[in-house]
Amino acid sequence: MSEIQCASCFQQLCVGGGFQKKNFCPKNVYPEVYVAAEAEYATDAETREMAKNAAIMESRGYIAWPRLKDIIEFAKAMKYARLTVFFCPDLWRETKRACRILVKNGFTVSSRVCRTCRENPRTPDDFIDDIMNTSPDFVINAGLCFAQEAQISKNKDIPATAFIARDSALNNYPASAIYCSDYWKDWAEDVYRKKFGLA
Amino acid sequence: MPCANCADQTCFTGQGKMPVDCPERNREESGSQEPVAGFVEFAAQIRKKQINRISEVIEYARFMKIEKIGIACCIGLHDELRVVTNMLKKTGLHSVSVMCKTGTYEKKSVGVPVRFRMTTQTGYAVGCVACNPVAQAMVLNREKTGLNLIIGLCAGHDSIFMKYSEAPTATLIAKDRSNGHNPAAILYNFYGDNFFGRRPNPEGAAKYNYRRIRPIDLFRMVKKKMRS
Repeated sequence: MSEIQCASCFQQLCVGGGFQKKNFCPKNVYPEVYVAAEAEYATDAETREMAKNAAIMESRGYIAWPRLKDIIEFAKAMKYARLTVFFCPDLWRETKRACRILVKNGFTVSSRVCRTCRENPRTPDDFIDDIMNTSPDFVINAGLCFAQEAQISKNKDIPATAFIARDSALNNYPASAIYCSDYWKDWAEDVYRKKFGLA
Repeated sequence: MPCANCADQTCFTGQGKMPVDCPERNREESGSQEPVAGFVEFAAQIRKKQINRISEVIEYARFMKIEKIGIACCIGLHDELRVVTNMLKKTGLHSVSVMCKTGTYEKKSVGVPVRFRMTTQTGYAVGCVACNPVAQAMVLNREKTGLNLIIGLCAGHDSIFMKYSEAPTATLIAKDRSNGHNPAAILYNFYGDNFFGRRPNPEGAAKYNYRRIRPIDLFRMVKKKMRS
C-alpha cells in the first residue's frame, strides 16, 4: 500500500474540482474525512469565521502585502485586541520593530522571551504558562527554533500564527536552502526557464 | 511590551537592571518536570551548532525518534515541497504530504462574498476553491504522524491547522508572497519602513497624480489631518 503523497501528484486536479483515482490521493483513501471536515466548518463558528477572513485577506492583498500586513489585517477582521509576540533572544531587534508596527496599528501588544537554551533555563511548559499569563486573544511566533516551536505547539487554547521562521545559518530565510540546492537548480531549469522562455 | 523593550535581558545575562514590569519579578520557583528528558541540553546544543532549519528538523526527528513526518503545504509551494521531500528521503525519514486545496471545498460555503472569490482585488486569478486546513489536519491525524511541518500556509489557515492537528506542529517556511517567503525582510530595509510608516492613503495619492499640487491643496491636506 502506498502512502498519501501530494508531492508526487503533478496534475493537482483538486484545484479544479476533481481528484486523482490513484492510491496516493487522500480524497480516495479517506473520503469520510472530508465529510467530517465540512461538518466541522458548519458547526464550529470560530473555525468558519477564521477560514472566511483568511480567504478575504488573501484576496485583498495577494502578492501586494508582506506577511506582517496579512497578520495585521487578519487580526483586525477577527477583532483581536490583545496580541502576544514570543521570540528567541537572537531576534530581539526584529521583534522590537515588529511590535512597534503592531502597536501603531492599534493593538495591545505584549511579548515574552524564550530562554530554554540559555543560563538558568526554563522548560517549554513554563514558557507556555508565561504566554498564557498575558491573557492574549492571538499569539504570534516571531522566531523560535524548530524544536522549541514543536514542543510548545501542544497548547491549543489560543489561535497562533507564525511570523518569522528562525534560521540561524541563513539569516531567518529557510527557503533559501531550497532555492540554492541542486534539486532546485535542475527543476528550475526544466520548468521556469523553458516554460517562460528564459535563458 | 515587556520583553521586546528590554535591552539588557537581565533574566539570562544577569547584568543590568530589571524593568519594572518584568514577568521574572513575581515568579514563583516552579518545580515543573521536563516534558522530554534532555530537551534543554538538546536545545542548547542545536543553538551552538548554527545549522539551517531543514537540518534542525532532521536533528529533532532523530532526537525524538520520529519515523513519520507529515507535511501540510500550500499549492503555490508545490515545487519547494518536492525538494523538501527529496531532502528528507535522502536522510532516511518517511514523509506524508497533503496540499491545501484538498477535497475542493468551495469558498461559497464558508461565506466569502462574491467579489473576493474568483479574482483577487489586486488583479490575479485564484479560483473559487477554498483552502481546507481542517481536512489537512484530519488526514495527517489519520496517518498517525509524529510531527507535522507547515510549508507556507497563510496567516489564518495556519492557526486553523494548528488547532486541529494532534501531533506537534511547527513552521518550516513562513509564507510571504511579496518577499519570496522571507517575511523578516521588511524589517531590515527602507521599503518595509515605507510600507508601514510613511505610506499615504492610496486614493489620496492618486488624486494628485494628474495635476500639479496647488498651495490650497496643501492647506486642505493639513487642515484635514488636524481635524482627524
